[in-house]
Amino acid sequence: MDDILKQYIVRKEFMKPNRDVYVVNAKNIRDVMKALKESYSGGIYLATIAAVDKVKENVFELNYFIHIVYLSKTIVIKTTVPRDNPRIDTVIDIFPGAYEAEAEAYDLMGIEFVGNKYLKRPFFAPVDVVAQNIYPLRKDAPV
Amino acid sequence: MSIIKEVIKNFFSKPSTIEYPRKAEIPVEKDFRGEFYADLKKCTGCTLCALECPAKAIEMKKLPENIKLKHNPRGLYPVVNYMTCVYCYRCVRVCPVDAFITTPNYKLSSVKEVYSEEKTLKTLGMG
Amino acid sequence: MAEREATTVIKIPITLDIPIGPQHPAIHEPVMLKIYADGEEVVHAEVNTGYNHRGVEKLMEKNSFYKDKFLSSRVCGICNTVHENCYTRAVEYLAGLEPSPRAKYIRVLAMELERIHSHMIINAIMAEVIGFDTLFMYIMRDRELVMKAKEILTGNRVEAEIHMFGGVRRDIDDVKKDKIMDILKKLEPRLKYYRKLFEEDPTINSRLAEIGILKPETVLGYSLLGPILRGSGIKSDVRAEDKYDAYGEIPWTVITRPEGDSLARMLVRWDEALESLEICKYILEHLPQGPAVVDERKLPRVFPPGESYARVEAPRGELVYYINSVGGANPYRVKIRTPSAVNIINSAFSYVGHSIADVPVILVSYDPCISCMERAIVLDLKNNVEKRVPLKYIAQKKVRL
Repeated sequence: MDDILKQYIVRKEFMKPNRDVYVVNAKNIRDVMKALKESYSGGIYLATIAAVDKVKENVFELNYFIHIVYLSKTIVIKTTVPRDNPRIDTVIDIFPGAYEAEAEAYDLMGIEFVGNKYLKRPFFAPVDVVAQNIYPLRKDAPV
Repeated sequence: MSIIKEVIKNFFSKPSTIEYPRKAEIPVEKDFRGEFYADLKKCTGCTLCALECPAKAIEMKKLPENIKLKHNPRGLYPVVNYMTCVYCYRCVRVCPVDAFITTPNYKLSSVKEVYSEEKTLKTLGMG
Repeated sequence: MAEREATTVIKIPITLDIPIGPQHPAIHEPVMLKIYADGEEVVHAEVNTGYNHRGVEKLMEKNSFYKDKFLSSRVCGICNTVHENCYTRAVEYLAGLEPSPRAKYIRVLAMELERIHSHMIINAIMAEVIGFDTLFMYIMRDRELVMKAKEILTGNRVEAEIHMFGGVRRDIDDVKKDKIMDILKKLEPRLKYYRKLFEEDPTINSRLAEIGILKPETVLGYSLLGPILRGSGIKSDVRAEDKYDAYGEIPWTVITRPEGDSLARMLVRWDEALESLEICKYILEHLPQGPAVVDERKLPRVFPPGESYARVEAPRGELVYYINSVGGANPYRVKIRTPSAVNIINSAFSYVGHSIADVPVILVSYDPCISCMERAIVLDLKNNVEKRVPLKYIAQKKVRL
């Protein structure tokens, strides 16, 4: 696993219980996903994308959880995006199952996925919240 | 095979609906999570149950004027609102002196008996 | 030649727009399926979604870890035990608590009883949608036995609040064990009868076989989970991969079928229900001794910082909780991803090419955790008339389009 992604890894950490976390740069996300899909084709799926709002460090942190059926393992790919310009490339043509996860991150946190033409605003949030241009899950949104 | 044999057999046996509440009663287990109220002989007024309730259904009230209890220095006792309560029994488990009395009573829809105040005050012999 | 004025205008609608709209009291997301149909055949489908499910994640950041446990079990009514289990295990990984062996076995017993009753209800709904009301009533009558068993074990028929960080909240003694064993013995011949009926009945076969076929590569690419994955031949089950609680010590097998149509998915569910019954009987005979109940007054108030990620096998697929904490009594971020969200939203591609009467059959075979989407609005564009029709009548071809 390490030698497939060796050129992209910045750091390696652990998440409980015993899951490997690979920290990569946000520019290389499409190459990382393509490399993973080609090595394990026929037995890999994207579980979900979780976005965390870190106000103190002024970044958004994105976690991609990928499950590999052959090894019975889940690995985590972690990137960060600056908070005042949250844009990242989409992976929807490599893993079509990312449609729901990217739509949710766009609607509730405001992260824009470049290249995904199915994003639209009133997907989960109700219409009056959208009209005021509020992203509900950010830490500075009024409740 | 078809379901015809089963249908004909059920045609001649008695129906399986229970006609509640006019003709039959439903048996319930003894430790079903039903109605509960506080026992003033043990309560110390620490207000832990009101802090830990996930539904905010417990309110602390002051005791009436003429009662002074040695084990209750602040003079507070919990009153449960049965319409807001979700019967999760967190208050029963978290109480440090086990001061709640539990029953399996589940017939609780009424307009008059919404608060547990009278039942709690009756444990001291008044109310 | 004199000109004649046009006297009538004939409007020919090219496609009919049928929104199958949301209406349900249950707790999961409301979904609107918009189907564009040409005659009888579906050419395009869209999924629009809703609303108040995501308020849960924002609310969990304001409450303490203990109150969030009670909140997480109220996200879904049918699968509330597995939500509790996933949250409890995620917090236990964070804090380093370990439950005792007897507590692990009791947790597995509660989850397997819930799996049986959830599979029975989705098969009953499938029978009702195709018009087989007699079978619906029989399955619901036998499901009452499982609800009674849950009441004996946990104290409540639906909401089983039995998990706590470090163990369980109630214990089981010999009298209760015998009562639950009696119920399981009464239930076993009924489950076998229903499984045989689903395989051999000509009505069910003609409506369900060869409808909604999904190939293995498509299923993995779109991340559809649970019995959909196992009904297309891929052998993947969270209980066998992570081996959480006591699943590493109990002998059981993963069930797959190779065909990939709606009938295969329903048969996978009946086989899983029979397997769960065997697991319950094994647990009741082999319970280890020792303490199981944890004292709630001695648990810590403040949890250490860190991240954790827990997965569990719900009856509908794979359920995932991700918790991020910076120390303190409240969590910083909780993310919940339910299997129904992915199964319904990502699967809009699979209705194309079938006739309209097959749409409810395919939707119910994906097991939406919604209490049955009920009404469809049929817009008759020719006469400008709107009719409201229950979904059943479309499935039984009683509506003429």
